[in-house]
Amino acid sequence: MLELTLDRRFKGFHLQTHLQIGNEIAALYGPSGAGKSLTLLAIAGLIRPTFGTIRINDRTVFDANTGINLAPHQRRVGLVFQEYALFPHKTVSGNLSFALARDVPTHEADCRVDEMLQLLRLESFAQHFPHQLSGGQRQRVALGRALIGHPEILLLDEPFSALDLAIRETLRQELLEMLADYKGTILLVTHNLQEAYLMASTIAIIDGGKVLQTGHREEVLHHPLTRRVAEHTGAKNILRGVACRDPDGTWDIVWRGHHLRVDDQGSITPGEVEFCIRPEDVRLVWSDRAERRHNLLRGRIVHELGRGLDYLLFVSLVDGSDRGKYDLEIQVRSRLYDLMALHVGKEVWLSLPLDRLHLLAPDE
Amino acid sequence: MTHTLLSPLLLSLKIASLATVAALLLGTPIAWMLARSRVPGRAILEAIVVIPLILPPTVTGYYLLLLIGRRGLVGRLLEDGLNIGLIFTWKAAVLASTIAALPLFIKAAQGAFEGVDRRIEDAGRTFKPALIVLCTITLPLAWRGILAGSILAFARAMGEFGITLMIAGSIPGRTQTLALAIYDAVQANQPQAANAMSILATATVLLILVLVGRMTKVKY
Repeated sequence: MLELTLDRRFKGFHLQTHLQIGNEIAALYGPSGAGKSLTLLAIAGLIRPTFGTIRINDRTVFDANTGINLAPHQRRVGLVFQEYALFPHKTVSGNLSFALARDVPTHEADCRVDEMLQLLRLESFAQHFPHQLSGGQRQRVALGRALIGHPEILLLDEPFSALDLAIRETLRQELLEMLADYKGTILLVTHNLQEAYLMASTIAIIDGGKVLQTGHREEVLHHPLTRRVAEHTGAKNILRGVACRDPDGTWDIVWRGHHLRVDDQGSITPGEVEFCIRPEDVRLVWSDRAERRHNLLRGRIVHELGRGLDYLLFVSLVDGSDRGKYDLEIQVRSRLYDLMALHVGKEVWLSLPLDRLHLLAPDE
Repeated sequence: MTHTLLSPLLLSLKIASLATVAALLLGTPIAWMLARSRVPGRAILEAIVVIPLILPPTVTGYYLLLLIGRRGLVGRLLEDGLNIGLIFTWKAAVLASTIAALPLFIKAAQGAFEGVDRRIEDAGRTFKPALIVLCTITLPLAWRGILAGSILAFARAMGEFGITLMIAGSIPGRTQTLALAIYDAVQANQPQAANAMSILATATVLLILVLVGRMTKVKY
């Protein structure tokens, strides 16, 4: 379990992270420069926050108020650096044994190194130096080095960014298998949302030094709380409308003259509201089935982008007020694109499903 | 003849070796501080360190003379308090060579420390206390640069002339190093002695460089 509140000012950057995660795999996701790596360094004790506390499994490793500040090697934290930071002058065995505490007797240390080499499937590379290894092997050594001392929390800083795209998929799977037996907390830093989703059960979105939203991966992906979270999770259609009450008591959002029904009625505030829908959630509707759909709109494709397996369609509403820009970005499978014989200039029926429209609270 | 040749050479080797060791012991912590710490006085320290490199050796020597001479602040303290006479002894020559060699050593060692990837040190610190990381990670990774600095320091100390002349003089058999002996030989119109000693000096330095070059082959 990890609980932290951090505050530190750098030149032109203010880190104000707040995080609470259990014994699970959590991802800290955000763009580069968001403060992800700084947060990891602070947890490991390599930078010192000005204010705040860090607790690992009910052990306070840092508290600005009481002056507690455990040295990095006393925190029982395993940190895997982005480019692995292996010791270039030590062999694979040497890298692993360095990570063991000094009070581990030599014969036990040897056993644990051997065990780890076996787990990493690097037995025949024990006497190799890091520069003689492949990227994937280096990653395994770095992981083994971080795990061999039985840390209570494992921190992974962009574990796949130093690897070729082609082997990332395999190594991601491999990493998950190796971590299956690990019982502690794992915090993974990534700027790739898909990677965060694939690896972690909880995702925390961070930007500008602040955690914007933490929650289950589905929750974060499909229910962004604020505009900035929506932007970071790829909900490209961020729209602005006015909430008004229907005669039957439910709320509608009026957007470009259309009354849109939404599911999450509870969070509506009267007046101007922002809401969003993901490009892949907008439905294209066959014209003969149009009446049965909610939130039906008529639009024209003004621009398209073929991406091989799918298409991005940029659609402008057909309501007489053609503004020369697109109103909605839609992602469709190439198969559907062909079936419906879509092309630029074609008019289509669109539906915005009730459960896919999300209201956004204003950012702080 | 051999005696007049060998005596300055041996003295030079002794003084340069001691000066190199002194520069290594003094310079390594300073170089590390310059490379790693972010204290406010860093820029000033960095400037002070390079002063002997820029000043004419005679000026540096003159300042030292004022400082460690019999009436100088440090000289008086040493002489009255510890009964150590420094000026015009071989110890003064070691001091002169150390001062001359220190900037070269520090610059080389600072570069070596800066060349060590900070994240590798950080990785070490998550496993072991900072001092152990310094000894088992940082120094082993920086040692080639430190060695290069030591060679530079030794070469500079072997060639030291101006500062030595100012504070140690050129007393044959006591403070007359090879560089000073060559100068004196030329002054005294003894070209054979000057030739012999020059060749000796060149050969010695070349030999040392080759030996060190062999020692510093790395395996990673």
